[in-house]
Amino acid sequence: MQKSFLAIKNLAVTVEGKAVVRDFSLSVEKGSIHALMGPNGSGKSSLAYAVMGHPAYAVTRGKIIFEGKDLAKLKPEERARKGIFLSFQEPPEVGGVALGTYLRSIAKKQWSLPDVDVLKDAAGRRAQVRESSLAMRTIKEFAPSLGIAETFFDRALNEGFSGGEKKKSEILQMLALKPKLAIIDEIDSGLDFDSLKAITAALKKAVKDGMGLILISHYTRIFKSLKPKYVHVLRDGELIKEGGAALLKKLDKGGYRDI
Amino acid sequence: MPSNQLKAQYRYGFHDSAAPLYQIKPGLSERVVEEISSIKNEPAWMREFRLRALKVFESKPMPPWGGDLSNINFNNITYYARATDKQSRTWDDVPAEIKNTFDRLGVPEAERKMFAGVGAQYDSDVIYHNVRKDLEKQGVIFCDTDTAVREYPDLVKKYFGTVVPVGDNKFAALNTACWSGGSFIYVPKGVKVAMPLQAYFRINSKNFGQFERTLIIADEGSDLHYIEGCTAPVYSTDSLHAAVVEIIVHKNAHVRYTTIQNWSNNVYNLVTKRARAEEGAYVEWIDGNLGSKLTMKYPSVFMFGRGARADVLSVALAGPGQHQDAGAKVVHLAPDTVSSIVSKSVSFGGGRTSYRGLAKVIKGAERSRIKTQCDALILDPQSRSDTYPTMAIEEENVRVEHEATVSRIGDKEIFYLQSRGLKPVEATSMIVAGFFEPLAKVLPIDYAIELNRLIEMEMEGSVG
Repeated sequence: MQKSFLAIKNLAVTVEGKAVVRDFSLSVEKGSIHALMGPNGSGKSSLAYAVMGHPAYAVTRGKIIFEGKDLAKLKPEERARKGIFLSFQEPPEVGGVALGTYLRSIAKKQWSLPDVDVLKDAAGRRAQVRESSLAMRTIKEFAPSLGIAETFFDRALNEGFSGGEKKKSEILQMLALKPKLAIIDEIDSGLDFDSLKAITAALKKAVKDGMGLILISHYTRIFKSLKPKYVHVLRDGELIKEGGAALLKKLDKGGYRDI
Repeated sequence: MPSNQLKAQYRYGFHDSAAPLYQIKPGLSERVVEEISSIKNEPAWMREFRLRALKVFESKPMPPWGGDLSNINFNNITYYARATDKQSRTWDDVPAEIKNTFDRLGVPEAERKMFAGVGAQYDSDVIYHNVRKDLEKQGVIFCDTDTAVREYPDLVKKYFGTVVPVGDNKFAALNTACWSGGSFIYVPKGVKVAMPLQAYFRINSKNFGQFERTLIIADEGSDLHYIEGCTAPVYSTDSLHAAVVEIIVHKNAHVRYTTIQNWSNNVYNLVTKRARAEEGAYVEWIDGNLGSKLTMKYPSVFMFGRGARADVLSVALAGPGQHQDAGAKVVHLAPDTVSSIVSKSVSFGGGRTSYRGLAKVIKGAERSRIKTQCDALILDPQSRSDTYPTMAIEEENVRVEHEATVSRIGDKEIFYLQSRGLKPVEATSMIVAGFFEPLAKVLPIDYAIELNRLIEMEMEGSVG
């Protein structure tokens, strides 16, 4: 049995008392792609929020285990520091901080070593600087393929961004943080063809480097290039079907009704 | 809801127990004004000036606009307190307790690192003053205004009260009646002062009124950067800071005036700052308002000469129990004058910010350009921000732009940033620091670092 590094076991989630996920289980291996599909309101995004630790999404039953550790008591930022990333379906606009400054800050933070006093420990500090500047370089090299101009980085984080620009901003943040596990929610809406292609390529490379990827979508298009090993279909907060790539073909033909 | 629990922290709230050598009993009267004048051994013209100003102060009503001034009790305020009987040129000569206070504020250290001259005012008097010898040799005068009245009477008489007249407003009149200390600077023709001159204003006494008076004259083609910082102890009763700053910027000269004000939460800060810009002159006000109970301050530039230019950057942070009513005034009195106002404000924990501004162009000031940009950031539903822009444009051939934005940071935004590895307090400080970046960019590096530290401190205590 391959060791899964994310294991969701019999999870139930409520929002303001209303059940949004019921008895859901999933296990993700390093370097694998999972498709999480289902009609609108089926609980896909709720599941993603619960994994990230959104305070409004209460886990009423079950467990989320990441790298052998129960996440229940961890705050969202602690989950992020462990290497979990969630790309939002609708990222909020944050006034004040410029995207470029922000990317540098989160990269630095992510690569500061929590158990070492970075100011005193030269080795720790070097690792932080090296890793974060490597991440920034990746971003700079990647930006042109998204059709982003330099001035994009001077704009306030997501403020006044178009739908597509917000998705690009999400991917740049993922590159800054280099997560071990990424949950990508509806990345394929609002993006032009070239940008989608570039983002797909970036995700592919991250997966090749060992990142676990959960792709949420209700269309099958994106899975043509990012081929999932497993497909999970949700409806009303419950897992109604699981399978391999063949399941996608079935969904393509008959939609969710036929399952 | 993390942002609800934000509470301000203030690290300059200590006071030392140096007893004043002399202080006038609380309350304001002709006798008090005469006593201040006689302590300073002033010429008759200045004493009469003060007494005239007192009459104006008494006759003017409190301003009905701006912030809540109803709790100021003019009878409880001490209008003059002297801590030491001499001014020192080296920190070693400053009485130990007072020196210790300035050490804790980092003033002597900053002087060594980055300033060409420093003045330090403690309650009513400037207790320390020093300027680099090479500047003195070039004819630069940097002293306290009391000394200037004695040693440079012609310059003072020529310019004092010409930019902010006695009758301008109630608090300028109060300052004119009771003024003590402040900086006097004269930069001769063509002299460019490469490093900034700094003044530090410290209130130590309780229920105290600090009324420094600053007068800056930049002669033709000269260049100056002046920086001031201010702090006060935390007391349960209120103090009053009512300064007047007058700047005369002659033809083709440039003055940048930077303020990083960080008063404690019990200080009313009611300041009149104004510059007169002649032909081709350039004035910059960089006004950072952190702290205080209520600040009402609108640095102004009157552009008298053709092609004069004014840039005002006004930045305000208002936390619990604070109201920052700040802004700017630009008055275009000649053709081809250009001004820009950038206002950035953040309110949190129930604090309130207001932008109040005036943009005026008189008939005949053709081809003038004005650009105003107001950005407000509100960190929680308890906090508030308002904008009161006034435009008085009498000339048709002008270009006027006004832009305003309001951003709100709520739970949704905080969770988003948490999901990127930031604690709520880090997220908030980062947003606020980012918002204030235009200010940090124009400050000397040590000041910029200090500013970021102050912001982080103000935001601390947010995680319950």
